[in-house]
Amino acid sequence: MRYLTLLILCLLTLCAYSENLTLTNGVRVITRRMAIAPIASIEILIDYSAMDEPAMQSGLREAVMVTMLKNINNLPDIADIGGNINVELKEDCLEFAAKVPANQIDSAIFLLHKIITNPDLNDNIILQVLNELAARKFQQPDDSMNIAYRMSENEIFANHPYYPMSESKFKFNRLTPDNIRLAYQQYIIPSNCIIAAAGDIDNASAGKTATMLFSDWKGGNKIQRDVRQVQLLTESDVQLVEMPVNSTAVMMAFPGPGLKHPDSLTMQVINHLLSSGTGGRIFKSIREKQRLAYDAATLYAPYADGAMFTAYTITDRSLMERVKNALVEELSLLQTKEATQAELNRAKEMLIGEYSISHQSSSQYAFDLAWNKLCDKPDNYDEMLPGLIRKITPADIIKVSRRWFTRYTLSIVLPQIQAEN
Amino acid sequence: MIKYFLLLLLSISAFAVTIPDPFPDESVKYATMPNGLRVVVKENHAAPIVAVSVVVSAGSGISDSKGIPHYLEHLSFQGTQKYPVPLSAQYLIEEKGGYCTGTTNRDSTRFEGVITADKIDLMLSVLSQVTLHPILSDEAFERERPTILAEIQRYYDDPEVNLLNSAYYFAYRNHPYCNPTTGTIQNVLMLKGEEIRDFHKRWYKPGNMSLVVVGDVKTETVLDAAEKYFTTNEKSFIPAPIIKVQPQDCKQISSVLPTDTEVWQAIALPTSAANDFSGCSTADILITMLTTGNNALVYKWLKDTNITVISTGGEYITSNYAGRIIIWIHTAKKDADTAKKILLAGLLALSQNITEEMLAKAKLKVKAEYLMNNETFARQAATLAIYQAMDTGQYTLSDYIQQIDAVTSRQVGNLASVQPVAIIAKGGGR
Repeated sequence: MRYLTLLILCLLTLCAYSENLTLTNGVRVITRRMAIAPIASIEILIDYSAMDEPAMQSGLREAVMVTMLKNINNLPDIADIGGNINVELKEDCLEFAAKVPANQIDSAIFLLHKIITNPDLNDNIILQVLNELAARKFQQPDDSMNIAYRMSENEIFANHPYYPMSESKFKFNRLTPDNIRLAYQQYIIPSNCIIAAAGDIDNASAGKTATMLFSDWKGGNKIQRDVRQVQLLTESDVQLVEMPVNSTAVMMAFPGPGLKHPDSLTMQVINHLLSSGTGGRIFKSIREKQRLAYDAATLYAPYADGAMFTAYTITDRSLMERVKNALVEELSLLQTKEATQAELNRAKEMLIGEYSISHQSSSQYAFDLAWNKLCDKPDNYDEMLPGLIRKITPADIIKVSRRWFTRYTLSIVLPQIQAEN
Repeated sequence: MIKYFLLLLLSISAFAVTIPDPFPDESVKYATMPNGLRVVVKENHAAPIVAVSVVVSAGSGISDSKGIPHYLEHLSFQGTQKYPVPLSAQYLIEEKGGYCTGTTNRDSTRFEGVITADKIDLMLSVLSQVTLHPILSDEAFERERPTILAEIQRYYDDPEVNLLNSAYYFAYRNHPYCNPTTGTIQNVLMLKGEEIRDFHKRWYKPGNMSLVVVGDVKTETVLDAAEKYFTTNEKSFIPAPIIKVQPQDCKQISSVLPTDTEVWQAIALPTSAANDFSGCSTADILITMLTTGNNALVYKWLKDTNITVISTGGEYITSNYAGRIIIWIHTAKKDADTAKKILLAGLLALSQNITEEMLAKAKLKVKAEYLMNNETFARQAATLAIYQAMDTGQYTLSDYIQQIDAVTSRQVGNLASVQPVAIIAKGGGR
């Protein structure tokens, strides 16, 4: 009888397991099984934004992250279990991710847990990190497209903490070990932590491992953030530079809505309407109709509270003016003429398809689950998304285009004349 | 207590880890249609998606190809008998939330796409049209030329692509593999529509093609659809003559200007052809040891000598005739000579010093990468297609893990000490 009761209790525990749970200390855990291949991914996002850095301490987040990572030297090498760890400083958060053969998921969660909750923050380690970061050299972009992108970011995110996240503005030698320790205590806390696991996993088992490891973790209360939206430009401008490159890049950039903004989904459809696949307007006009370039596309990758939307081509110097006019024309047309149902449906279905196809990758799926949570989306957002996208109308496209595609910065990178010779 | 148990498990498991095979023997089904088309199916019902790849065993390594295979790949989407409007076949797929595209490499050209499982019939219809029934009109041919020229021009801005193109050029002297897969700008300017049509007529035969489907589909459904869409009245296919890669001395080429501040260098080592599975597995292990992960040897050798390393890397392309391992290093110009010497000396020393522990770790890494690189249906279909287009002799994909396990440290050491066939240096930076 006792065993029967125990069995029933175990079954009830398993049945009661939710794919989304919040531990008592505030850590949020999401698990999703998708057994495409015997691989599992863990994604841990710490909600510690560039906007949380005091103005005089830019680079603080990176210093905290790298210090935490130093702990890896005291842990078993994840490569020895066939996996890899990826740590990245993002505009809105710190990302700690691991991808392993599915049978090693518990080890992966354990390693990330050690890195995040138990770093060695002694003076020697922190000073070593600060020295390494200060001595770091940055590779400058080599091709015209990346140079143009950098120029555009500089204008769109002028004076915004989102840009630049790295490089010269950082003064690591202003930071002290106490700054790093304080930032760790304030921001690397359970209530800022989101854990997502996806792939060939058992949801209940992965959730239990995460619960067991992270439930003891203690930390202070979340600090209220002073959110700064990315602002529309006050006037349009053109920047033109000559560089030792071979191709000409023409890039038109606008501020765009962040993922938390209600216009974000419509903007994603606009992005697909203009450029995704072979049916996008810019691809059709610039590449297929006018034959002005091989690459002609738009890019919209929103951060939580702002974004840059770009329309660009890589072309020949002699075609620069025609390319620029074609880009301006397509973005103007979007604001004046309704998209046909056929082309809008293509854009919407491509966006829906892209999302679901990309989730075959366990790391992408885990990232999206954690990222949507960080951006305050509902638990079942990935299931709701197709319905939300299909609701978008031609009128929504016009409305959102008019709101955001007003003033722009145009960046043109030309090959130097001697480079052509 | 349980936490420490986990740590213990992790620390003792390093050499006991089993990496699952992404292509276990029983998971892949093979068939050949009466017209010679090979059909490969890997069923997986975990997501309602299918990936389809049609591979033609004709890439830029065909003698005197001059960029034709790549040009043909572009033109195939510019109108077919059933979908005559340029790009309309791709558009149909996009309307249903999928995508399809083409890729040219040295041994083959692939046409592939991903779509929801219930639209597999449409995908097969599109890919059969694109491969077997493209229109290839002179008008479309001329219209496409500027786009291809722009694509080639774009690659000139990428120093790594430039370096690898040079490395292949000198590592495969007097062999068609020396050419970039796109052809050169001069090649493309000289091409005629007739040459594209002739190439298609010669090589795009079911007997020279494979259809690969991975995902939420039944094998019988694929076989029925293959018969429906890929049946032709073609005569038997005559394979391409083998152009052997001749042994060659080491060629050293440098193009570094006084104004350059950085140097990209590549070293090419000769390895086995695809039908020597053991040799290929050995090469996979060596390139992994040298260039993959946090403990990559090349990076470590350079860093230990205080060289300003900007990046390091490598690639190993197995091919039908003979493979090449290419190791590249990107350093400050002032360190370039020292870096090259360290790399060559490191390879020589490595040939005598491969411990069993190093070998075991590298094997684990190779198997793990193989698994990770074949996570999605699209990647699995591409891998199966690439193998179909290669002459792997008696071996199939499911032999790969076993071959990796069988490699010895002596084999890896021998390969590390082989005489390079090319050493290239290119300047750049600002």
